[in-house]
Amino acid sequence: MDIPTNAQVLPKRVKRVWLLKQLIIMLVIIICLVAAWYFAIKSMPNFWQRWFQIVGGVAVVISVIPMILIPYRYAFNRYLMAAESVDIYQGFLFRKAELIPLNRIQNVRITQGPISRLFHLNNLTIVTAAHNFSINYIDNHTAQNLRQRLINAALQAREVAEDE
Amino acid sequence: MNKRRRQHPITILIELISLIKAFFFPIIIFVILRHSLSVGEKVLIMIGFIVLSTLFNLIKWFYFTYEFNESEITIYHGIVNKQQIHIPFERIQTLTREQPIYLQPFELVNLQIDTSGQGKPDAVLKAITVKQVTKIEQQRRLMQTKATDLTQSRNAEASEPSTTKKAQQHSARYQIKFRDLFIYSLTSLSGFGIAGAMFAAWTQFDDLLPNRFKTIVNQFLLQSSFVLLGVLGLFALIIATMIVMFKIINRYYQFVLVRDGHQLTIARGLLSKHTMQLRTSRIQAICVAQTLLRRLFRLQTVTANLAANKKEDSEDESQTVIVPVIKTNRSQKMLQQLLPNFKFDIPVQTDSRIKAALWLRLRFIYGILLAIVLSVVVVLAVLSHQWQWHILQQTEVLSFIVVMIMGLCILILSQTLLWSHDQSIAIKDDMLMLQTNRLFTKRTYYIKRDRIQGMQTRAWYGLLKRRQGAHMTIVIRDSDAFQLIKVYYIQTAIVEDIKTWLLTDK
Repeated sequence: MDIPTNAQVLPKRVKRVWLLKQLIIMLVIIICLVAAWYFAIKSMPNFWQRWFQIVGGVAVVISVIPMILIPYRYAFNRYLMAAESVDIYQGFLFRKAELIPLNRIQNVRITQGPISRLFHLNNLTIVTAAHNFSINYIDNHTAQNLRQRLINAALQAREVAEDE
Repeated sequence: MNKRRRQHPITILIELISLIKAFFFPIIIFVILRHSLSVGEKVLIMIGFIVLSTLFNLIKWFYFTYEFNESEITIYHGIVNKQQIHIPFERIQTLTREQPIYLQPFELVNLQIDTSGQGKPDAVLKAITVKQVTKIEQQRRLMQTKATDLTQSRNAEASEPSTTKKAQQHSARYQIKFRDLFIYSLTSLSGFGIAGAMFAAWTQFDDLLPNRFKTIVNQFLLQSSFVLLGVLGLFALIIATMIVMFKIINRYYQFVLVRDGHQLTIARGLLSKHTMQLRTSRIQAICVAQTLLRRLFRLQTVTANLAANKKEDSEDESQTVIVPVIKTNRSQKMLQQLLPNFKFDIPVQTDSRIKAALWLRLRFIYGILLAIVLSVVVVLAVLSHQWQWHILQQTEVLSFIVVMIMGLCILILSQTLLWSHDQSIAIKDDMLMLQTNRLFTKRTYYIKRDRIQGMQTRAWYGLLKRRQGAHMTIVIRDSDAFQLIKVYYIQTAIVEDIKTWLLTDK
């Protein structure tokens, strides 16, 4: 489960994307907390106000943690196009590795949300007969290149069901 | 064969009833709430609704026609937007024939045609004659046999005669014995669920019941002794068990599974007769399940994950049952006969997990339990301090909490011991066998290599580096979604072996 040395890293600007997304989440949490304070909690007894301040504070602190962890997330978020499979690796302390054999791939999708578009990044979704899995935030050139390689590999692979 | 046909006119009535069923509550509420309308006007609205619905269904029925020739079925429907659906016989994955009790006197059936195994069936022909369905089934079988023969003859040019040809010529049959079905229904624990649901329903709906009735019941309950209440509880449980038994017997009565070459036909049902035809190649995995109670009686249930639409009837079931009940000592031989393309004689190997697996799992589950208990205690302590509750100082409450926690600890310990005893992994040729135990149910999965869609491994640093272990998940297709089969605390060397085995699929 160790990350192979030839595994690909994501483009560096992905760190800014993650930061921006986390800032948006934090902003939404703060807006909700402020709205709840003015419209409901302010008129409640002190006991509830104190608890609201504690819970709200914890929520804001929790939303900051992913921002601190961005360098860690970047260092241990990699993918590998091996000869027989696509592998995705995530995490160091809590590790997760996914493996999809190339001959199970049915199709490949490239999607781009507003934030990804702003940074010229793409999400590559690999579709099997059962599930989807994604390599998020790769640059345009790599996405097109990977897509072509995956489709070629899937076409060359033996058809799974002998009578289908 | 080339004649356009309509569904039986009874379809108009069936559709009308389902439409009335769907709109029954909205109409009743509308009629009751409209105090300004007289009784006559309300009756008129109801009659108008029924007449309009009948007219709509009549036109819908008139414009719904179907025909089939040697190669395909064509369905024409739509009143404003005309649609034609062409379904070639070779592409049909599953044909499901359903005969509800009200169609039995007319010898009519509903037929579902599914080609993709994704989402809804491609077409549903309602209330058509058994003769027509038989013709469709025969034609489909004929066309698919031709297609398979063609593929096999192409393969034969390059290699020696394939073994699938031999398998195709063989046939196998399984029929349920009523005695086994009875024991199976008796050992279903769903009765407890229904009894619980009855109790929950009472607590939910008692607000809606008339006060007089509620008072009588409450007085009766307060005045009754524990023995009488126990007897009442037992009685409710017996009734619930009987309901479950009837449901199971109704569902699996005269269950017959027949394999004819690559075709499987499953027929079952007492009140509503149900027949499903599918190709063996649609089977993604076989699961042999055994609850703790059925383990005592040495009974097993075999289900299959299919790449086919599973919403074949209204009864919700996660997997398609291949063998509802079979004795443990007979299951392997029977399954091998029914599904010769699978291998079931894979020896169980329990040494695939790391040495400290049991300890680590217990530590993990008890850790979660401890965290939950501590959080609850802290919240209760804060609330009692704020509102002077003194709830934690009451001996009854404290002893109840302690007894509950102890019971939970014993349940967790016994489940984890069973998990430790049962979990195993084995590989034989192109088959993977995974055995798990979750919620006291032992499940053994048999999966062919080319049906595994992906593999996931997870581990925290200590488990991976110090213990050389990881958790492994196998992804397989299940209907139009997926199923994850998880095994825990596996030696990393074995995980690597499985990864290599999975990728050597040529």
